[in-house]
Amino acid sequence: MSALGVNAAGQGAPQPVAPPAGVQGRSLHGHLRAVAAVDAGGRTFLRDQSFRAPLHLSKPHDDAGALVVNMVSPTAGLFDGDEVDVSLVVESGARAVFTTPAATRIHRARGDRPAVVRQSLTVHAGGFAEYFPERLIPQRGARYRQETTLRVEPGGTLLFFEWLAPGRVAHGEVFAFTELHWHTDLRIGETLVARERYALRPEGPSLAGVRLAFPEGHYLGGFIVGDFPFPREEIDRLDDPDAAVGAGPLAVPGVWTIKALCRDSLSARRTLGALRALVYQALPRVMPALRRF
Amino acid sequence: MLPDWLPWLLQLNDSQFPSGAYAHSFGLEDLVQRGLVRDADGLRAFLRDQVSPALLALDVPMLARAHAAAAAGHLAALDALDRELDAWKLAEELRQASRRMGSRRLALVRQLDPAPVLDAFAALDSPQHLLVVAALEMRTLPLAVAAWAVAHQAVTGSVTAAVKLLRLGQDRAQAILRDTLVELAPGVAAVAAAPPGDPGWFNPLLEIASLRHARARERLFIS
Repeated sequence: MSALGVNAAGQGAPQPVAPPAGVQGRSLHGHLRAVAAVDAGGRTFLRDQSFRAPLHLSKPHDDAGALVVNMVSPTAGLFDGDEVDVSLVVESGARAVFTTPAATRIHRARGDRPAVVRQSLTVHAGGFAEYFPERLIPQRGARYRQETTLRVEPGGTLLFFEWLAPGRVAHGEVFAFTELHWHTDLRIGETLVARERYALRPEGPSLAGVRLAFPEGHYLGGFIVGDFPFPREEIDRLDDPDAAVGAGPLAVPGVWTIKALCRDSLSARRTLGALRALVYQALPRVMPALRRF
Repeated sequence: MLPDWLPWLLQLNDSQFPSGAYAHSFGLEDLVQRGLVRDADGLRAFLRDQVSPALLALDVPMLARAHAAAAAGHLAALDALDRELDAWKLAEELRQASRRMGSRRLALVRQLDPAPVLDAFAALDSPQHLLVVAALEMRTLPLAVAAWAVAHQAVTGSVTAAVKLLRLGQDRAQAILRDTLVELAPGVAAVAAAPPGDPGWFNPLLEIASLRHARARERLFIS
């Protein structure tokens, strides 16, 4: 699609018009940056913020003592070639919840380029951050690459969750995407504590474990960092015929992983909500409602 | 003429070699208890779809890096890889199993084949994961041979555990083992010849199985 226009006088040949910043051909290159800090009164606010389509921030609000920041995608989702850079920072003393109000859809790729999301979340000592997105739905033919870098300074607290759906199941799309690349690193200070690298393709064995548990399985993952009694026994009890759930410590004290495979979206939503509630009970802190569960 | 290293390689890979592998199922026990692996066909599928791909996508590529560092005597690189493996192994049981088996193996190899590089590595405060120790002990062998030894150990270990967990005779188990190894061999050779630059594998089911197995009330295996 070329960007052509007519000059103001309406005379002569059409003149090329530069596309808006961040638009490259049929793709968007957007970003979202937010820095949560604490003011003199002890309230968290966004000291710095910047965003460009396909993401924007709705007005943050306080809930249960934390600043709830909704990251909104006003477009239909991500398309091949779209690139989004997300940088979230929670400074010492601040408490922020980053969430998305709706599922993120990855649309069918028109070529070989994936949609790319590069996201980093940094929590300073004494800071508290929760990252709780709605599900990611890779649609038929989607190509997607997600690179996540989590960095928590010693003394910081992080609740990180993610939810990968098999597709638009109601439309008969179950693991019909083309390819997903999933890169995640978690560092405590400078120490690499968790590393995950996935290349998922419906053909071949990369989804064999998920399908063996549940043919239309939803994947939930989480990392919990903090100095509080982790509710491992309570999380163990979430395991039932509709959800395989496990949790355990990583190699550095005070850092935990949570994994779950769920039969369908209902069991995934129920399990994720229960996991979140259990972690908040253990902190102990009042859980921001998010108004979705 | 047989290669000089063949006798000791066979010894190190023999099931009688006391590395502690016999005490681990690497998550298989929980999958059997869940009814997800029930019989010979289930075991065959487990090896084909879960064990073998993980070897090709993660273990052998990481071994290749460790083997290159070990062959060059680059202890700092080995130490870094060893610590990185801690981060790869999210499930505590799998992480500890790899460390224990590696440490045990390193102690034995230092007795059987003393070498300054082994002593120097042992003196580091490294986790001593099995892959890194395997790379050290086989540092003088071609990577393809070392890769095959590691793959053989992993598949054999799973089949040995399965015999204790399933109604599965030794003859049937050996047939499954043979088929799996034959199917796996070309892939191991290919990855050893050209290791992928971005190792990684996705198997949350096995991670969950291991995370839960760590707290199971009744179990045969350590992992």
